[in-house]
Amino acid sequence: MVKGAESKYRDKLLGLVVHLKVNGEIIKTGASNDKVLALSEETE
Amino acid sequence: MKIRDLLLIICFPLTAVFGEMRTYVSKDGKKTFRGELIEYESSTRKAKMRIARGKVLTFPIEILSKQDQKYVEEQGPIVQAKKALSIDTKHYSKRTEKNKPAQGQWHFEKYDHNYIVTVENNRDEMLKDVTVEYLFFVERNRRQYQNKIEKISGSDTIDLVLSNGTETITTKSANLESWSDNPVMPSGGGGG
Repeated sequence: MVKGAESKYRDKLLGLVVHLKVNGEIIKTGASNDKVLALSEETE
Repeated sequence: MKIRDLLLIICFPLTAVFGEMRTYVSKDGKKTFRGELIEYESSTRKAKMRIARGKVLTFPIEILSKQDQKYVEEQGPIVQAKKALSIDTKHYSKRTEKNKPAQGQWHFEKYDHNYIVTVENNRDEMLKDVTVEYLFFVERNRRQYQNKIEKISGSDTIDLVLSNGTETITTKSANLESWSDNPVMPSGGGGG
């Protein structure tokens, strides 16, 4: 019998959001996917 | 054990940024018009605006009210930056730790992840004081964290992006872990 073969945990990188600002105003936003962009809006 | 570096490249889809249509007032305050600032040249103090029916006009901002002149001077660098800047990112991952488990013990690996953000200025004029704000998210999946989402954020200011030049910033790192059982193999075997 193989004991504990099903146990596996892996942290997941969900993605990156970048805002470029000039004179304090966001002029460009980039996100690696829509999910992470939505997540960033929820947490801001 | 050799540590391997992994490199992934991600190209960002950028969200569109649109100019603002607003009402401008003439210097004498008698005339108004609706326009969208599309370019401003500070050395000549000339503005290029899109007005009604898509017509584009270039004129010295002295013909506008003091308040509108101030607005154009403030918005000029922003409009310029909107058109000029693009973002590119590279994702880096490097293994920092790995154990050698005995049978029945947990096997783990740890990796540092970060990004290099490149800002490109596609215009013939330099841009000053560009702030890069970033955030990224890690889902922690070990049992005790219960899929908790961790946010890593930071910012950096680039003093100058030269015309047709690029500048880069490096984000903070996040340490990601991977754990798995090293199963106990069957003992004894068949025999006969």
